[in-house]
Amino acid sequence: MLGYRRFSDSQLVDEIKSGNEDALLSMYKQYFTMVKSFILKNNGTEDEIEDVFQDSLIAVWRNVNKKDFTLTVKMSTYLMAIVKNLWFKQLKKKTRFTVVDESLQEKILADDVKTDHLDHSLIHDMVAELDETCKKLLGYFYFDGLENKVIAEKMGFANTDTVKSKKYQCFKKLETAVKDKYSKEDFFR
Amino acid sequence: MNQDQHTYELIDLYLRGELIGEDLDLFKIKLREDEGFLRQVQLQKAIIQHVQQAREADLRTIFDKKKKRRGAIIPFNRRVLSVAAVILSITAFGMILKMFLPADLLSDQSTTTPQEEVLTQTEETPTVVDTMISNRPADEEEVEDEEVTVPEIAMVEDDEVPDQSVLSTDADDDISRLKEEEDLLDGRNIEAKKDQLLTTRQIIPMVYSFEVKAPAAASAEADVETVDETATKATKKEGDSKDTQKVAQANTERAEIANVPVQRPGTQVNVEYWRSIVNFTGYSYNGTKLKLFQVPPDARLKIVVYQNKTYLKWEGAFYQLLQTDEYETFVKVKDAEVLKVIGP
Repeated sequence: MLGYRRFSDSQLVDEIKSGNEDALLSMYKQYFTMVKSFILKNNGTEDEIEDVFQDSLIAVWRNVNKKDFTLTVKMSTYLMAIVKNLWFKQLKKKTRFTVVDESLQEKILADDVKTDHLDHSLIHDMVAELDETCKKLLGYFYFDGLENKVIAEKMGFANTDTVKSKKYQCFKKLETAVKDKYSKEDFFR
Repeated sequence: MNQDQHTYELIDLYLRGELIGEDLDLFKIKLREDEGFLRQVQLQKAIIQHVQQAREADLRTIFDKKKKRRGAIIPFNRRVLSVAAVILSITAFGMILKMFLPADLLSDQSTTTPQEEVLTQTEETPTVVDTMISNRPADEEEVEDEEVTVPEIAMVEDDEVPDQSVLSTDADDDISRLKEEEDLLDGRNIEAKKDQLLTTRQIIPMVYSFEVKAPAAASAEADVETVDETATKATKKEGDSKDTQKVAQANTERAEIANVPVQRPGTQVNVEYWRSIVNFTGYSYNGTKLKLFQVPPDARLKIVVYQNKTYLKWEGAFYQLLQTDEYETFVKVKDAEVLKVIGP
């Protein structure tokens, strides 16, 4: 009825690697009931299902796009392993009444470079104001982890060199906007 | 590739953990010795973090769209099923009435068979009854057909009107109730009574605190001129005999540092912008999700945390966000001490 295509496991991997967001939607539809059932059986509420499921799908999306990723089990098994992991982590947090930062990027980017002193809300606003092409390009590269070749195909760039230079231009544009908007004294508190 | 782009690529590789060998060693040395370079790396890391967050939020909007579609489809399915159920119920009800009700009515009046009753009730019209009897065919099926028509006559001519009215009222009530249910299940009606989610956004709160760093930890930070460095310099100049004076000086400087709030990013808050059907202006906050009502999605907001309390900055004013399960109205912060730290 919804018209979403149902992918096989290998198709899902291929589609995610090519940055096709329909694959995420397909997984969402295909596995929602399974995840819902698991969360509800394990002391979860209706409200919590959505968050855990979305986090898990995004984790799958990012993991599949890693260079050395190979799916060795069924996609449902793989997804459920992530769901269980995230959910039990969350249950642990709930029982301890503490809040832990879930951001994935800290695990990826160099930990020894501290950015706490920077005004993050200002950078957030500048990223939000970036033009769509640059936002997509940088997002595909830094979040999705898509290869330059895939980005070139998705965005209609001539080749990977174009992607590289365009990525640099976008980054500089963003960096300049941040620096221009706020004086150095204000920015580096 | 110019020098700037080369540096950018190099930093990129380092941040993603892909810089190795001698290049990595050289990079780390430069990071320690060149403060400008360190700041460049810090800024690049921060920008990448926010690009990642923006993309993640973007992907989540796909799910939100899906969720809305799912929400819209379920009532539609229910409506179709309900309509089908109503039709089936009415049909079944009608059949039951037709098949069983006359028998009940007859059993209340007498124990005679339908044919006998026809004979007793149609005394005033003997010719009709005679015709019916005389024309009765031998075939059993046709006899049964005739029998079906008899109770209908009996119902019309029955004197027990109150019973019939009760029955018809029940049926009418049933139908009107089903119609009401059908109306309630109409997607348009439901939508009109709901609050509307306009958009979602992620905001990283800034946590304000007064921190004094321990000597060992502070000296490890290259980008901050710490008290301990000052204390160490003092030691070199004045010698061991002036330990007491040195410690006092360091403590004074610590106190000065402690008067300046330190900011660090907190845990991301998912902010939902809602249009309230009853024009409620306020919020609901559970620590990770903030639902704002009647706050325009393009409003510039900031969330800050100070002394374990969360505040929302909107249109230049601060409002404390209480973590409850209830919907709260915005209450302006007036505490000058708090505003001094988190404002303007």
